[in-house]
Amino acid sequence: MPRKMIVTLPAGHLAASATQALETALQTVYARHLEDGRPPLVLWCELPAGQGFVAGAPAAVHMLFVEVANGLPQPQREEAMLAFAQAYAAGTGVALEQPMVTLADADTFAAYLQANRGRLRWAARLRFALGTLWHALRSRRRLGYAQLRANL
Amino acid sequence: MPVYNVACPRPLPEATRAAVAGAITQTHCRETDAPAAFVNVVLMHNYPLPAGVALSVLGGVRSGGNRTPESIEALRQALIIAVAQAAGVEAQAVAVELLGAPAQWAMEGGRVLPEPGAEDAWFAAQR
Repeated sequence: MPRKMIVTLPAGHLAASATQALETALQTVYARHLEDGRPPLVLWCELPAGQGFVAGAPAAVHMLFVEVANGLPQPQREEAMLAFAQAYAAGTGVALEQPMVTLADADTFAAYLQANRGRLRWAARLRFALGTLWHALRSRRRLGYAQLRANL
Repeated sequence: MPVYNVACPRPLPEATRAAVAGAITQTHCRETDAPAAFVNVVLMHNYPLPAGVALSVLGGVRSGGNRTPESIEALRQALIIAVAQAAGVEAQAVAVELLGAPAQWAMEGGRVLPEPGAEDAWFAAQR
């Protein structure tokens, strides 16, 4: 399985072509700073208006949640975080200070995804997994990038 | 960070969304002394939650620093009460799970986040 990267941003912030270009830029950062080889799978979660809050107020939420190798040295992690923030800012037009970038060890990344699945009704988990995969594949074909659904 | 991901079976009214996000933010800040500017809340709708669960909160929070397993559990319990009040549901209908990650794994405002408890120095260095 390739490493994964989940990008959360306001719905409609980027056109499909700009999203594709940013995906390439983020994969380039990953290859340059973290691992060569298979590029990470980038999943885009476009958050509808009114579903993001910062400091308790409605806000545009921009987040990158990136899976990295367990035990990544901190200097390498910091260089990569800054490079991701710079690439994201350049690709979206937001300030460098805007995105929250998290580079999580693979075990922690997996634990988070597992916790997200695990909170669903038991009988709905398989349907959720298949639906997520189907939506990602379909959006990849239609739009050129893989979407994660904010709302099921 | 923190990032609180709130899942619910159906879309919440706008006023309830704001109330829940505000309650999470206030509770997190009160329990941890973290600045509100760090607190992100996103809402996800139409999630098939277990019977009896009206809201499920999955929080990614900083670990280490001045935080202990006891303080994290106190935060979790406080969040259950606050979210239930804000959403107008029973506390039993709110599920909260917190996952810790080292502060230095995340960057906000273009800078690596401080250890919990070291926020004042972090903000001072920014000025």
